[in-house]
Amino acid sequence: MYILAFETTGEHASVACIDKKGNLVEQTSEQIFNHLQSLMPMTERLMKENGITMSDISCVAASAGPGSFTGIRIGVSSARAIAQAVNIPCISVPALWSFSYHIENFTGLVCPILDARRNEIYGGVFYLDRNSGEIREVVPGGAYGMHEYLQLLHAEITGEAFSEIMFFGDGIKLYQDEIVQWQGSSLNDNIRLEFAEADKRGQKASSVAKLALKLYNEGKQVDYEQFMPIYMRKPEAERKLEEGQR
Amino acid sequence: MSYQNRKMIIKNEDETKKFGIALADEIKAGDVIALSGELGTGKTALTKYIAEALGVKEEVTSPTFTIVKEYTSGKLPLYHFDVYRISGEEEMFELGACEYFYGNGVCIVEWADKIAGLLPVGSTVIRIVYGENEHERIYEISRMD
Repeated sequence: MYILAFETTGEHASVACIDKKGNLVEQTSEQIFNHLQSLMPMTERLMKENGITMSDISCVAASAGPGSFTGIRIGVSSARAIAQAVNIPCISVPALWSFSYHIENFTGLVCPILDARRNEIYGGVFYLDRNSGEIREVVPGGAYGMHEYLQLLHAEITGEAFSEIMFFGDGIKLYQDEIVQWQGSSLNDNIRLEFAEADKRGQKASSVAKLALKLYNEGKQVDYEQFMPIYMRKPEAERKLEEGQR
Repeated sequence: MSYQNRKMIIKNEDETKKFGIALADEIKAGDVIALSGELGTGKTALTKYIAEALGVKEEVTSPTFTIVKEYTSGKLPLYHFDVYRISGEEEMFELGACEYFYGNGVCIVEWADKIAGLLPVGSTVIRIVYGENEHERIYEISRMD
């Protein structure tokens, strides 16, 4: 039994297969936003090289967003198409949560921030309990202004005994200075703040696969027809209300 | 752009053309120009002159029925939108419009006020209203913030 997992919501497409024990194989495209052309050949190569056939795949997962609009559609549509063709279920993997698995043995707060444009980020704060394997959504995934996000994060840090924070995602290049400044003015010295290294910043199919396996074990499979993108856009009415209040 | 936050009186189509040429001269990849104004105020006419000045060889026609037309023969890719038939921001988003707005071409959007919430910060907004004389138009130019 394998789960096939697609990650196409970021710059580089990647694909992974994970078995029940958590053994992983993965391939990542070096090309930027060339998901449509690279995803299927890469998947075929990965499966061939590892002796995995379609009949070994019991479930197909994809990162459902938020992230690149076209990217999300490519990943979700590809997963749906395969699931429909070979009659297996899908797993919808929330992109922000998947960052929890990026760094092996990291025990601090995982802070993915993705550029949502118009001065906003898609972000959340997650804590993966390495003993129980459970992920806690410390700050719910959503669209935030950076200032608002840091305030929410700050409240969690001061409320509990977290001493390590790591930022992920393409929002780093836009907001690194603001975060460093916030660290200087608001955080105690005993709190360690890091930015993930460049090659660990982006979305990865291996993390999507790990989360997919957890969701699979929890019985979160869905029929392909129910697998929908998660753009995480605020409804228009809500945004208009907020803009009116500014 | 030096045209920001000002009101211009455009006396006739010749001046529309001059304005279009001057605007095209300052346009860079990634720029979005948001046009609004009643039917007949000359949104498509202005777009034609901008396109011409950008070196677009094809004839520019209204994209009311196709929502967007792409022109790649000029010095920058030009994406000409008419969102008159779009129900609102949700529908426009679902069409993938943001990939154009944040892409590497130039977007000109007619009836842009229908989807204002999707337009990037820094878009050039041109509201066209009728002037006092028959051929006169007033361009109210601002920057989206």
